[in-house]
Amino acid sequence: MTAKRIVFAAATLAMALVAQGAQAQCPSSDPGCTEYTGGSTKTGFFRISVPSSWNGDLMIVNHGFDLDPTNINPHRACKKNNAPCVVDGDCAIVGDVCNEIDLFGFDEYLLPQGIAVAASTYSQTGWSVFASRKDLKAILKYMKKTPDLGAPARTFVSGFSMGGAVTLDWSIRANPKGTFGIAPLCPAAAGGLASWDAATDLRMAFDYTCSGVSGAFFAGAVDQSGDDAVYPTQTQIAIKFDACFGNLLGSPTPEDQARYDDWLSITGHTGSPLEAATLMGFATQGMYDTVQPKKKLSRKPIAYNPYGQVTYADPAFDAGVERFPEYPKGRKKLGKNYDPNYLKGKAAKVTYPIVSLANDDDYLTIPGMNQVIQSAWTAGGKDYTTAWVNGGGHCNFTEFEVNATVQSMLDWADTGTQPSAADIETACLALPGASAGDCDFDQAFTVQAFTDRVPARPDWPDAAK
Amino acid sequence: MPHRQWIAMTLCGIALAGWYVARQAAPSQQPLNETSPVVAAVTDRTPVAAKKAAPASGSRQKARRALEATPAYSEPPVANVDLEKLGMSRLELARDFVAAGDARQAIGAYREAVELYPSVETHGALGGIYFKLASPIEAAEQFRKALQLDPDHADLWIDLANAEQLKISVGRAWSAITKARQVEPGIEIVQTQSGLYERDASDPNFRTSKGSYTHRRIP
Repeated sequence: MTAKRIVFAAATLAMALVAQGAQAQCPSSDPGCTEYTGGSTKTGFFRISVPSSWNGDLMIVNHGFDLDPTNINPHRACKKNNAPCVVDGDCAIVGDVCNEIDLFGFDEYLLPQGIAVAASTYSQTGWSVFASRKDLKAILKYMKKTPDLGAPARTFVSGFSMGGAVTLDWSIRANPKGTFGIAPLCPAAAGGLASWDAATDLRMAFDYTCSGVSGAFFAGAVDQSGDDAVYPTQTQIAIKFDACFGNLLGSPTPEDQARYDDWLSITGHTGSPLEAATLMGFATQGMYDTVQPKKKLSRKPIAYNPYGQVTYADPAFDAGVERFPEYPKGRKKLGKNYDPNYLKGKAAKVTYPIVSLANDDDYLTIPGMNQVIQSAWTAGGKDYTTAWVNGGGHCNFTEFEVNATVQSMLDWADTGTQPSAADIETACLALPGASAGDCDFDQAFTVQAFTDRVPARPDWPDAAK
Repeated sequence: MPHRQWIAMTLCGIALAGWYVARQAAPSQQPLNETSPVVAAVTDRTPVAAKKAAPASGSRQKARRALEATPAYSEPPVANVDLEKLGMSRLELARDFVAAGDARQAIGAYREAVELYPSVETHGALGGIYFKLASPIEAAEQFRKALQLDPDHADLWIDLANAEQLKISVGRAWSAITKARQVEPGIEIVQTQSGLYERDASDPNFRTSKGSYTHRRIP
């Protein structure tokens, strides 16, 4: 046996052991708990923190958009050799990172209540809803098969941003039996088609505004389809952005500023230039990661804005933007992953509490995305409560605001009494140590339609139109 | 000495002087993830072929021409080089590039500064430029490296929190803010309207002003 084979066999054995499950160190919020880890690259890796006096409930908390494949790794294992670790310094290879599956602080207030908390890396990067419901099911399957655990009596699901989309997808496509409530937080709530059409428009607005500017050219198709797509680094994206708009590092010239003003006018972006450059990352890197992989759209195009059927608010852009009139092959699959529709299938059977939280000026998961999912919930006859928090940025919440939202959803499941947004604010202010600044809710906010920012496509679900 | 030899010696002298100036003043045009030829020459790292430089201006253009004229750094490493001084000079140059709005050159110079003299200041500065360029993954990596050198640096924990926030790793951002509070009890941290963290203006160690942003106090 060659040395290479021995190493491979050892690595395989190690991975198999990890996949079968193992106990690891508990979070500091409950040192007496039991921590289970497991999973595989097929189902994603997970951790489950089970309190010493477990009441049978489980909260799954889902992480946000992550394009780094090395994060699909076991909990507390060095990324390069899977050696056990607690901090980066434990990893023998210089520069290696100890992978941590984050519980987003949920453990701090749920473990003391006897509720177990779990999180998954998912099996896919980026727009992970192509497989995430199976990844979450792997956690439940593991618990059911583990004699010390058993299937949870009630499962609750929550998550931030992309994790909010994973939560919504779970509520739409997973069997509702066993799930007793969801709390999507700053969710990417518009579904597959509307979300990625928004990203396509951002890129097209950039190409249109920055056409002819030296150093600002993105190669490949706007929807990153085909064989010639290029995956730029985030820094390369920012350098192109800065070449056109000049506002990331220095002061923009009048020409730079005029271009940026045009781009703002077309896209409706309300955040900072730093956030605008981040958006361009989603429109290029995120798009690539959604369109190129075989297990996602397998390079099939998705750009679709037929003239006469898709009208942009900016007349000059509407007249000059590149048009994609043919119905592309990738849209059907993208539309299923995921479709904000609570009128059919498993989604129609959902009766559990839905409590969501969003910022009133989120630059990434814009308020209009929440309008889409609210329309879907209303059409499906679901009871839901949405609370808005003042602020731009993305997922710009305090721990108090998140705690109160999640707790309100749990209380609703326990008592059957639906909380209002004002009740969530009251619950926030009642948390130990909370002040008015920690519970900065916007009770007067009225959400605008998603289509105020992104023109509808003919094949969008009704909730998004 | 024959006339021709004088000319040859003079040209050699000019080339050597140019090489020295280039190493002192100009970062190389390079892929963003490679060790630069300059750093390779002085730190005995694997030499890489010198790349053709982009046009520059003034004295930097001269320095760049000289850099192009030098061989592919196959010489042995230079002994007794003050790496700290060289690293700091790269840092200064990087700041000049930032002021000039030249992001690519700035990153090149910051990276050389880190490679020549890895320190809290150089890692922190490279992390800072990555953050400004909306590259939070790279920024967080640099802030973490800086924190390995000085785990009690509250401002670096705040910087890391902001990089995590931009990465949408909200939980990790909260953890970093908690660490900032642990290493500097009594620190006043506020959150901007964009959700980024900074010291409160009333804090004696307040560093920067974010203009018209409104703030809320972080518990």
